[in-house]
Amino acid sequence: MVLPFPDGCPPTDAVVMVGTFYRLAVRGLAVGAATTADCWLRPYEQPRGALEGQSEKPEAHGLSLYASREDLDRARDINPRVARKPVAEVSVTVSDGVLKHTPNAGSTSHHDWWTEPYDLIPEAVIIEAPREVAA
Amino acid sequence: MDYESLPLLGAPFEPVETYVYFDGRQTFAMRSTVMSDLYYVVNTVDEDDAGNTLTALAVAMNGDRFRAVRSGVVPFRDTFAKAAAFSLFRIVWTFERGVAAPSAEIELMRALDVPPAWLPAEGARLDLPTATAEPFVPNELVSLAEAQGRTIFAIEVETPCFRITGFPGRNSGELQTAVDSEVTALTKEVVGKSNKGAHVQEIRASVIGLRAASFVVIMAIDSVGSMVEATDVTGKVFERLNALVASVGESDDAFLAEMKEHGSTVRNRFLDMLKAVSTAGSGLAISSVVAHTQSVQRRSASPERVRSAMDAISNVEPERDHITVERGILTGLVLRRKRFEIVDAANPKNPPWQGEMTPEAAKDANGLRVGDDSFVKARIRVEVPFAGEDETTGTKYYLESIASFDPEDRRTDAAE
Repeated sequence: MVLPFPDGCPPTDAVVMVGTFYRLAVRGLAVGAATTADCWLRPYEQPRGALEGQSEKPEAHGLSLYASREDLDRARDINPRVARKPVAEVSVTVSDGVLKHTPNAGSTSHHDWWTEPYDLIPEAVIIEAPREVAA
Repeated sequence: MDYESLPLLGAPFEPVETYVYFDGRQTFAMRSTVMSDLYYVVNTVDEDDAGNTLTALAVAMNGDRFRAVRSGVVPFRDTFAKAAAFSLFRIVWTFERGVAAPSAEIELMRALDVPPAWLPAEGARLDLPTATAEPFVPNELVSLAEAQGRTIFAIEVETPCFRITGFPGRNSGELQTAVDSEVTALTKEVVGKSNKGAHVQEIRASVIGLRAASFVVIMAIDSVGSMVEATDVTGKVFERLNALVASVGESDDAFLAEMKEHGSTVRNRFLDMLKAVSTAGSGLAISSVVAHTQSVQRRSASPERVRSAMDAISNVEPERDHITVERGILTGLVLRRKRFEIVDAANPKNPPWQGEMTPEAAKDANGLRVGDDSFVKARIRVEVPFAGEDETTGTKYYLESIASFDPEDRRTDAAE
């Protein structure tokens, strides 16, 4: 169950953004399929997630999105766990909440998305299959 | 998942930076808080969808290796696939229902035993700009100048395609040679207008260190044969060198106006400096501290401005003049290629005039004999480029007319 945002969440510097973004989905979805609710588990809800159970943290309510597909491809080159997830494309509109640009050393296009309403399950489509890595 | 508290060598750790983030850190670096040169690069590699485990690899390395990995010199796959013995660890996190924090099981692993599915893609590199030399701190120039009692300066350049501290060796060599030559040329220009003794003309530049940002050559002034530096000379030398660099950064018009303040040698050597940085795609910055001034002067020009200044020079019309050779010796003539060589009979030890011929001059020259006793009179057009590679070879000569030398003509002229 999605929890309401804690105090101080979303951060005050998160703003409305409109555009196409990319998010990794759960395994088992084919290209062209719609994403499921499991693809939109907040970080504190994700089994084996880095922020699992940490619902008091604002970042644990923010969904990771990449504004650049090339940037996400680079992340998939570097991290094999990430490479084995399919890629979904999602269109964010003015009514869907606020985003914050949260780049890191390896990615210039990473954003966190706090949805409106807080328990929104966005609609998105799988556009790229998981990478097959020889075992 | 508290990676920073894992009981690995060097614990506890502090985060350095994240390379892949997706709903939490997936690939990142951390550093020991007790062993300052010990880093770990961590990559999550597998998860058990049906179960409750997450696997990550962590590889320990020293700062040099970390910087090589970070810059992309070492492919990211090799960071794990070619990890040194006893440096690679498998970390398996187990998430138990009802338990707040997962538990970690750490196991030493051989690089050979890492499944291919746990490795980054072939060819993947972090490719991040990384300083692999000590950073450049402008104020260190003041300290060096004070300690050594001489002028110290730094030439800052950059190579856009390099992710580590570096500058192509050929360009670096050309730049250092050009800077030394420019300092010498400016010194002669300054001393030539004063009554300084010959000893102050022996001012040269030496490289005394390299720094990062992205690449900095620290240089110093050597005053050959003198106990103390003639700061009245070096002060003016760097005032003019700074003005030249600043003019490049300002505009093409300012640059050409500044260049016109100098003779051809200074112009040519400064052009050599610009060429050395321009061919590497770099801009140019100079920070200098003249001995005993304790003040850093910095001037810079962007890569775009350097390229523009080079173009501006090539668009300036050369200076044109004429030489009337009353009595020369025709020592070379190739009519087919319209090339000539004439030696001044009055000063035979001077370099000969060599160059191209106009069609009219080629007609005049047809039938003339080449030899030590083939005396001619000629008119030669001289074109001196605004700035070129070399004062001698940069000057171009064009033969406009030529005829056999007739002693009678000279007698007639004298009689008249």
